[in-house]
Amino acid sequence: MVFLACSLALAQTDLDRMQSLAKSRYGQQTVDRVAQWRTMIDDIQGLPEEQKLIQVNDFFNTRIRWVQDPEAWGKKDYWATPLETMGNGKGDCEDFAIAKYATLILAGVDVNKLRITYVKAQIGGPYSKINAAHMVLAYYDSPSADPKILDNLIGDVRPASKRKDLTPVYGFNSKGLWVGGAATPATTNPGAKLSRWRDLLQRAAAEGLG
Amino acid sequence: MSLYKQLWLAVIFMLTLVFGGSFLVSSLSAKAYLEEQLRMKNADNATALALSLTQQGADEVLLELTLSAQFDTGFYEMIQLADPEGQVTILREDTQAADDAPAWFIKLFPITGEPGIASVMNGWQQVGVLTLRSHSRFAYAELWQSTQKMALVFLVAMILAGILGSYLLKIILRPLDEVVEQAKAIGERRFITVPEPKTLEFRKVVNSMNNLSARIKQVLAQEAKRLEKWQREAHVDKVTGLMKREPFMKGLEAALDSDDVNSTGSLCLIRLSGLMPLNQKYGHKVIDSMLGDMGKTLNKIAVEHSRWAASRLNGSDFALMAPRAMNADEAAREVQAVFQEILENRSMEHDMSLPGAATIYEHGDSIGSIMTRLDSSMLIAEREGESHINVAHKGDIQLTTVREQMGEWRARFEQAFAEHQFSLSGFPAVNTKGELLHMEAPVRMELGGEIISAGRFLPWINRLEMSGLLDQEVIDLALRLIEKKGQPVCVNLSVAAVVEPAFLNWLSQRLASHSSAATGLWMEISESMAFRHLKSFKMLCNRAKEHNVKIGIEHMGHQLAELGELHDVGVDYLKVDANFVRDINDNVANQNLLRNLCTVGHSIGVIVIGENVRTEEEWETLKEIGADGATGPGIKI
Repeated sequence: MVFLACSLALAQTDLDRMQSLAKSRYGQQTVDRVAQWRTMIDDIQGLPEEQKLIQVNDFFNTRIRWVQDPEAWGKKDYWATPLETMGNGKGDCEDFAIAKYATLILAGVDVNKLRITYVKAQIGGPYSKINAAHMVLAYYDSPSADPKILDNLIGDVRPASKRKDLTPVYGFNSKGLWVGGAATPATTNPGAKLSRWRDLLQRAAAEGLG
Repeated sequence: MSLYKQLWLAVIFMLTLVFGGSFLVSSLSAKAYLEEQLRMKNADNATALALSLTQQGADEVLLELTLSAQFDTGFYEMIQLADPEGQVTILREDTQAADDAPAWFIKLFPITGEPGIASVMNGWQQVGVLTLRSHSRFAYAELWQSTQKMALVFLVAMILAGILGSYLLKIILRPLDEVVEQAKAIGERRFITVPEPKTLEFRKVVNSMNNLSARIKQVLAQEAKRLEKWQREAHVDKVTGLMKREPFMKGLEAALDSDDVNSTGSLCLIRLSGLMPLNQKYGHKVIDSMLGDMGKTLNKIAVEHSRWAASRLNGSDFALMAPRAMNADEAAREVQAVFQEILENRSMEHDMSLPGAATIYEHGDSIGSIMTRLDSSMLIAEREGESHINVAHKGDIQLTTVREQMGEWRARFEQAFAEHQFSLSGFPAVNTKGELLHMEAPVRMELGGEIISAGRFLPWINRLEMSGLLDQEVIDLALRLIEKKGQPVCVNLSVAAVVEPAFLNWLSQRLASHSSAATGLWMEISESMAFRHLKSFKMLCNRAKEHNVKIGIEHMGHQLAELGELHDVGVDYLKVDANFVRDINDNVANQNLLRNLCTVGHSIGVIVIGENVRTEEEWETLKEIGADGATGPGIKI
């Protein structure tokens, strides 16, 4: 339930629909992947959040191949929904971040603890001179805590203080963009398409992550 | 409610509805649009501000300065920064009341822009949540102004639509006035026809009312023709087309009895002396044709004057009654001259002579004395041979000339008018139940301590052309009498009432100032005057109707052929001439005549009253044949 906190009133999460879409759109392999994904979500419901982070991070880092956007989607800078990412089997950094963000919320993590964060990454370590625009998912156990970073460049979940290679630029979650459980459904809102993030929320909702 | 008022109400209702609807729709969509714009602006500004704060690092002073700068230079209602625990650390708020639109309007269309929310970070550290809301007063101002403009446009449209609608309605309704006019006229028994209006619905109404009028007119014309034919057959000598002796004598008798201007005049006899032998000499056919010509010329003379009558009394005697004539022998000489001409045309002037006798008759004379006078006068004329006219005077020889008499009468009338020496007498006219219809009120004049009847002075009033004055006097008297006694009063008007234009205005004023008495007033005018001045008579009728005065025709029955003309006049009653009423119980022809007259009268809603009814038998017969009322010496109440 990606947008549980904000969109309970709008639509019900319909993972069965997501699964049937996976079949019609991508084929059996994706159906299996979505089934695994659902199983994983069910499995981790009772675990401590620390464990959830690791499981989810691993799930995507191992199953999805990291590529640049043009290769994955044929266009520059495309934000894919979790289903698209799973169906495609590949994605770039924001696709990972988004998929993990959505999955963690479905697994019961408070949206307030999550920030999808734009970061400047020094490829090859903190001393590298090669900088790249990157996106990760940050988890704040408490508002003032040192966040844990779910990244696709590095396989395991580490605290931000251990990630000297990343410089945060800006973080957000669906709360800031989708405030107060807006009374109008996203799909009818003319402003929705203008924001890439909101566009993504809409497409995800259409695929069952209501 | 008038159609105009309804139209205005409809226009106002419709446009208010349309205005209300479009106001609601446009205001709501404008509200939605403005809200969306505000929301997007809030979100973008919050993000941009949070982004820049995140980049600057979380120095508290810097945060405060940046937020203040943003707040003070921008259009914000509120900017606040809350720490990660939710405590508000910085708050900038505009508490000014929004006065760009009235409070009720703001309450009616609240514009609630969703605030923009973004989180501010310092490195990986959360600094807080930024909440920002732009001012909505500009949106209110915009919405209020557009609403005002729209209201103005609708108000103008409403007025224009109302004016245009009124104008159209006026065009559409214009024919209605004519329709109403006609309906009113028909209600007053004036069966007029009007041009058909263009509006289909009105055209149908007018068409059927025109048809009604046309049919009434046709029926009247037919009946009039039939009545006249009957009258001819009963009363007219076949050879000459002149009146037979009996009806002529009745007419004379009625004239002598009557109380009006016709009760004085001249009567003359012309005898075709030597007619009998000519029948054998020339044969019946030739003589009949000659007699026919004489009848025609004599009739021609008679019809040129109101109420003149000509008759073939017997085989060779012709008579001409010339009411109001002042010279005894003037008419006789005229008749003699035309007869002479006819004889000369046939070269018979040597076979016949045309002796004549003439006399003046006056109100109160008896037929017997007049005829005796004429007969002896005729004997003298015949004895003198050739074509002499002998004038017979009543009693001693007339000493004063007409001119002298006119001077005398003028002085008397001037005094009478000045001293109001006229009065009204009263005879009841009753309906078939014996109830009073009105008091028939002939005028009387005081002369030397003696009250004289209308028959004696009316001819002089007429000659002196003072009858208009008398009519006014009579109407004043009648109105006073009605006010005094509370009974309807009927007065006879002279021809002056019809032809003098000033009289109508005088009448209107007088009736208007005595409006309640006017409803009890009945006015009548003689048949010959009514038909001769039909147009003016109609105007008089219309005036009378305006004041609820009843109007009728008296001495009816001589010009039945013209009865059809009455279809659009609107008279209330007809008074049948005494000629036809006299001995009606014994006169089947007159019974038939009056029966038909009553039928025709009733068909156009006119009541028929018999004049000068003398006996119970006459009245009973009149009731039987359908008359509605009667007046005369035989009628008592």
